[in-house]
Amino acid sequence: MTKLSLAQYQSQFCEHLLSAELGPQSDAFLALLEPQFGQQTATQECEFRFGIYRNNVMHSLRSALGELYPVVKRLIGDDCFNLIAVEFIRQQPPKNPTLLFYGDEFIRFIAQHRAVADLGYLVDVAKLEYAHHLAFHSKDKDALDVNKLATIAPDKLGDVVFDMHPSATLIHSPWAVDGIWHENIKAQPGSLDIDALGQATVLVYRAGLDIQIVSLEVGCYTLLTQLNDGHSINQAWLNTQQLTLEGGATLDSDELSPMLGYLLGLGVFVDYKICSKDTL
Amino acid sequence: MLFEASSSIPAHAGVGLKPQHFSDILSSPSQAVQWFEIHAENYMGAGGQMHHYLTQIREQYPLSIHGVGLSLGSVDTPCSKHLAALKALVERYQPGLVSEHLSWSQHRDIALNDLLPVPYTHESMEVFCNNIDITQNALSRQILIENPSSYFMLKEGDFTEHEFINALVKRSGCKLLLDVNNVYVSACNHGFNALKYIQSIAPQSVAEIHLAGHSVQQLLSGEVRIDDHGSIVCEQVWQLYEQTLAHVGNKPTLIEWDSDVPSWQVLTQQATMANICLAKGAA
Repeated sequence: MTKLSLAQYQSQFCEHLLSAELGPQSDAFLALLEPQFGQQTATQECEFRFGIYRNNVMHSLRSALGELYPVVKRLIGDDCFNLIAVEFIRQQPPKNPTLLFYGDEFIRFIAQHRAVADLGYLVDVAKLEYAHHLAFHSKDKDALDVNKLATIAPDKLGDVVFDMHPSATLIHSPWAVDGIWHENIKAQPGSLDIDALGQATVLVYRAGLDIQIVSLEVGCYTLLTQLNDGHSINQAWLNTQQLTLEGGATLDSDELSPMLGYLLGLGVFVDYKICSKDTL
Repeated sequence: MLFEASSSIPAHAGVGLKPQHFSDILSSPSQAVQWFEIHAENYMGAGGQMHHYLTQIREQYPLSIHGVGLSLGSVDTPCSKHLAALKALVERYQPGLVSEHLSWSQHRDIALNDLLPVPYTHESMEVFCNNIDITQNALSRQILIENPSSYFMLKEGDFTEHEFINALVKRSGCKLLLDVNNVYVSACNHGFNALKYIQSIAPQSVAEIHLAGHSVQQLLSGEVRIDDHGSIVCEQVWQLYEQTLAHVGNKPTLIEWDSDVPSWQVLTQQATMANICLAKGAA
C-alpha cells in the first residue's frame, strides 16, 4: 500500500467498521478496495463487501452479549436487546481479545438507558446473569471439609474467619430477581406477580461444576455478607444482629448455629483461619 | 500435568471441539476423530466445565490450540497479557500444534473479534515477521499461520496472497495451516484460480489443513461466499482438498463447524469423509 501506512489503514478500517453507517465520509477508505463487477456499481459493491465485516463484527459481539444476558434479552425482546447491544458495542467495544471478559459494563449501560428505564428489576437481573457467567468460568476450589472445624478449640471457634469460594457473588435486590431468572430460563415462561414476590437476597456460586442460585433468608444473607467482608464469626454475628435490629427485627443468639450449619452445608467456604482479633 | 495421549497430531481427521459434544466424545468416541482443536480464547477462563472436560479429552487425544486473538497483523506488537495467557494454556495442555491467523483484529485498545484482511505489502511483511518472532520466542516453539478467507481485495499491494505466505514462512520460520475452504471462498470472491493458488504454496510449509462449510449471498449481479463454518463441506472443497493432498501429501485435517453446531454424529461423518480422502492419498 503506497498511499496509506498499515497504521493508517487499520485506524480507518476500525473507524468505519464501528461507525453507525457508511456514508460520504467512508468514500476515500472504500476507494482502497478493488471492485470485481466493474466500475458502474463499484461504490455499491465496495460498501457491500466492507459491510460483510461490519455485520460479522456486530453480529459476533451482539451474540456474545446475548449469550451472557439471555434472560435480559428475553425480558426486553430480541429487537430491543439488539438495538441496545449495538449502541453499547459502538460506545464500548471490547478491549480484550478474550470475549469471556467482555460485557460487565453492559449492566451500567442498561441502567442508564431510557428505553428500559421503567423496568426497575432489569439491572439486578443482569447482575445475576453476570454473576452466573463469572461463576461458570471461575477458579476450581474444593469446599471446606467441615470436619476440620472440629479440631478447633471451642473457645476459638468465634475467631474463625472464612475464605469464600472464588465463584461466589451476593446479590440483594428489591425485586425477586432469582424468581424472574428461574422463570425466564424455562422454554415456556409463565407470568409472575413481581410486586407480590418481594425482595431477593441471593447467593450465586459454583459447587463442583454446578452453578447454584440460592435464595437465602435475610438474616442468613446478612451473616454471609459479614463473613464475606472478612469478619470473624463472633463479629459477623454481632454485626448481623445489629443490622437486623436496625431493620426493625431481632435475631436470637441460638439462630447462629443453624445458620452457620446451613452455610457450611452449601460448600460456599473453601478455607478458614483463626484471627484472635477482628481488625476490620 | 503429564498426559498419556501423545501430543503429536496424526495425519488423520480431527474436529473443532465444541462444548455441545463434550459428553458425546467421552461416552461415544468415534474412530473417525483422532484429535481435537480448540479456540484458545474460549479456554482462557480460570476453571469450571470448559477445563474439566478439556482435561479429560486431552488425556485421551492429541490436541491442537488455535488462537484467534493475537492479531499478528496489527502494527502494534501482540498484547503481552494475551500472549502470557496463551503460553499458560500451551504449558497446561501440551498441544501438538499451535496456530494463529494471517490477519489482524486489534487496533490500539479495541478488540474487533474478527479476522480482518491485511494489505500484502512489504510493511505488513515486516510486521508479521516481527510479531510471529515475538510469539514463537514467548512460546518457545514454532507456530502455524492460517491463510484467511476474505470478502474484498485491496487495490494496492506488493505481493499476491500466496507469494506473501511463501515469503513469510521462509522468513519467519513458521509453518502454514492451509485452510482449503478459505482458499476456495477467496478464489470465488476475487476471481482467482483456487488450484493454482494451492499449487503455488511450498508443499513442505504445510503442517495442517482446515476444512469447513460456507454460505452464499447474493451481491448485485453476482454472489459472495461467506466463511461461516455453519454447514457441511461442499463438494468443490472436497475436490480441492484431494488436489491439495496430491500437492502437499497427507496432513492432519480438521473439520471446523462453529455456528449451528451439528450433532456429534453429523460431525463425525464429515471426519470420515476426510479420512477417505486421506486413505486415497496414502494409497
